[in-house]
This record gives sequence, structure tokens and C-alpha cells, in this order.
Amino acid sequence: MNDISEAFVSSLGLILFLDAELLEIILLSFRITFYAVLISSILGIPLGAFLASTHFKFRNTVVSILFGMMGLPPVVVGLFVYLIFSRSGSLGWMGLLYSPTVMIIAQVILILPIVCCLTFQIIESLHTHYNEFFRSYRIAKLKSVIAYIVDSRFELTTVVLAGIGRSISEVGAIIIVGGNIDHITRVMTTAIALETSKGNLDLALGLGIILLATAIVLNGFILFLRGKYLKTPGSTI
Amino acid sequence: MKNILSRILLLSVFVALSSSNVLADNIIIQSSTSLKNSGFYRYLAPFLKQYTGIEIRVVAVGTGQAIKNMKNCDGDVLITHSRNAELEFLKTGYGLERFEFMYNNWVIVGPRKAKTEKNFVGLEIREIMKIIYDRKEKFISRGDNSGTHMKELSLWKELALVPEEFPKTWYLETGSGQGATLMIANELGAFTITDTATWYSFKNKGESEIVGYDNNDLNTYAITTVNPEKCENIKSSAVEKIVAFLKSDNGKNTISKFRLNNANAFFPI
Repeated sequence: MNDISEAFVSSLGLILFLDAELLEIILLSFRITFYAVLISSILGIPLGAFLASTHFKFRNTVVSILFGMMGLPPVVVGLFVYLIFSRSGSLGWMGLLYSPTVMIIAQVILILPIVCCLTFQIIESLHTHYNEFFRSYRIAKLKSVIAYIVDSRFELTTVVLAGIGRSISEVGAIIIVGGNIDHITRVMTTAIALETSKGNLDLALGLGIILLATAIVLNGFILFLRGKYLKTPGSTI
Repeated sequence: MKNILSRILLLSVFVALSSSNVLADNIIIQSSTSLKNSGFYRYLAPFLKQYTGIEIRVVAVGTGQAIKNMKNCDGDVLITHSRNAELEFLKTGYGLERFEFMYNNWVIVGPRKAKTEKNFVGLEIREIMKIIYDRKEKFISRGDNSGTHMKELSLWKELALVPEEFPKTWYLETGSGQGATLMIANELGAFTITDTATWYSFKNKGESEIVGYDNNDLNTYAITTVNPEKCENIKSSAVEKIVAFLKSDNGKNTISKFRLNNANAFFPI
């Protein structure tokens, strides 16, 4: 058995002779990851920052639940979203099942707690340092939250990267709600699952290698942007 | 900051443009996994498009789950291979009409050397399963309520044996799809039930091969339409065109020309 060496050969072949179909699969993976992470960040970063810098009655309960949700099993999320968007479910009338949109929704549920909790942790430590300062100058809550986010923007890229990592490698939820339909909802991970079930182990592993490579390139690009802004003084708001 | 925002905006425009537009008339088929894994739909899709103008989108799950999904109205038509489950679906009022349109053969696969060592040569699937039971040979069950799993259970029933009572030392349930189950059977040197098209198209056969055929029953695939009174969203006219094509000479011809391993994968009815 030299499946692993065959996998490298077949992945090389796949990259060299990048056909339209594979490109379509990769682009859909990117598209879903992009929107899922974008939406999760827009919602999750302010929410995490707000929770970290505010004290209210059930704050600890809310935070515990959110931290617990970081470990949500994707299959359970997939089933939950399926039941809601099924024709017999409460939002079935929207006809979104087996579409990229519903895959993004499932992934937002998975990624939002991660983005929110990691943001919480980063900003909580900032808050303990600057809380007194902000209060003594009577700076409005909203302004201080914005200041926290802007001040920790470089740390927050790690949060976004964690979201991307979870999103692009996830299969359990999106295969249920997307249905792994050829040309419509097939992404890299669901294609790998399909090829494995067909016994095409070298092709499946080859796709896995491409998935890993694209994830590394994507991360590298974001870290490159981050580095560029870190070095440029005066590029803040 | 403005710079970052414009970059994000630019990127989102690019990503949004990369989405594919779907204009053609399309239907969702809730299907058994075997037809997708063997590449049948991929072969069939261009012919359907050419002769009916309809694009098919296939959700391949086990027969049991396909029927469950169809009861939730999540699809337009059902293509499965378990007669009893399909008739049950008709009885519930969800199913409208059922047409058998093609078949192939049920087989039992197992370790290559078992065929000669255990004198399985020339035996029928039921005889082999009886010997497996008597000798406590390792047997892998799908255990996932798929068409193949239902077939396996009916075979044990014909032998008046009850799989629930089998010890887990030799009778193992994977609860996984056909591919995963074949792979596990191969690794453990165990026996399992499958159909010819799945077996021909499976790429990781290893030391396993077909040890016996079912000489009494065929693996029959049926297309079952859904009652629009139960599911108002279904595209009945498009489904009718698909059914008509599969029953036509043209459709039959198309099915019989699909070959795997230089053999016919399916035979039209």
C-alpha cells in the first residue's frame, strides 16, 4: 500500500491540471468560509468586546454558555439547521435547504461562539488595565468598546484565523444541510468525504493536501497583511 | 483603516462574482448512495438535460433517510432500492406512484481466499450466509437503515435467523455508508452485502472479491413520485418528464450503455 505517495502524485496532478470542476469546488469553499467568518466577526467581535467590558447580572452565565458552545458538535448543528430549514420546518418556506446560504448559516452557528469567546478573552485583559482610566475620564461605554477593538486589532486577526480554520475544515454540518450536490453545494471537505466513500483514497487524500495548502496560503496572506500594518506607523485610524 | 475596509469590500465583490448562476429548470432527487457512488447520476445528467431540459441535483443518503427527507418534502422525487420501504411510503399517502426502472444483482463480498478455503464456490448468497452464521465468520452489517441494510436483514429473515441476537464477536454493525463499510470489511477480512454496480466502481477492493450472488432476487431501483397534496413545493411536471424519459426506449438505451469494469452496471426494466 503506497496510498500516501500516490496521494501526493494525484494532488500534484490535480493542481497542475486544475480543471474547472475542482476550481469551482475550491471557490465555493472559499466563498462559504469568507461569508461565515465575515458574519461571525461582525457579530462576534463587538459582542465579545461588550461582554468583556460590561458587568451585568447573568454575565457569567452567558459567558459560560458561549464558552461551552465553542465545542458544539458540527453534526448536531447540521441536524438542527436542517430541521429548521427543511420544507416541514419553521423556515422551510424560504426554500434555502441544499443551498450555499444555509451552509453559511450552519457555519456561523459553529464559528460565532469561537470568535466571540476568543475576543472576550483578549479584551477582558485590556479592560482590567484601562477600565479605571476610561472611567476617570468619563468616556462613554460605546467609545471604550470601540477603542478596545481598535487597540487589539492585531490580536484579533488570530481570532479571525481560528474562525477560518474551523470553517474551511468543517464537514459534518455542511454535508447535512448542503447535501453535497454536484456543482451546487460540493466543497472541498464534502468532496473528500465522497471520494473516501467511493474508495478513491488517493484522490481523497490529494484533495486533502490541496485543502491544507490553500488554508496555509490563506493564513499566510492574512498574516502578511497584518505584518504590513504592524510595521507602518501612523496607519491607525 | 479605510484601506483595510476597501480591501475587504473588493474581496467580497470578487467572492460574490464567483458564485454560479443557476438558470435551468432543476429538481432535487433524494437517492440511495449506491447510484451516486457508482457515477450513475454523473453519467445520466447530460442525457436528462439533453432530452428533458431538466437539471438534476442529487442528495445521496441511505434509502431510509432518503424516504425520511422526502416525508419532510425536502426534494422532488425519490430513487431508492427497497421495495418494502417504498410501498410503505406509498401507503402513508406521501408517495403517489412507483415505477421500477432498472436492476442489477445483490452479491456477498469477502476475502479472496475464503472462496476456495471455505468451499463457497458455486454457492448462493443464502447458503453462504448460513455457513457464515454456523462458523461465526466475521460479517459486517451496514446497520444504517439503507436499502442494502434492509436487504441484508430480509436475507437473515429468510434463513429464520435474528441478527439482533448475533454476538458482536463476529457480527459487526458499522452504521456507515457503503464505501466505509466495504473498506472496514476489507481491512478485517470480513463478509458484507453489496450490489454489483457499487462493487465494480469501488476503488479500494484490496483482498476482497465477490464470493456469491443472489439467484432469487434482483436489486431493483424504483423512482417514486410524491403526492403534491402533501408537498406543494414539488415540481411535478419536471418529475413527470424524468419518469417518462426513464421509461422510454431512449432512457432504457441510456441506462444499458452505462458500463463499469467492462460490464453492464444496470439493466433497464
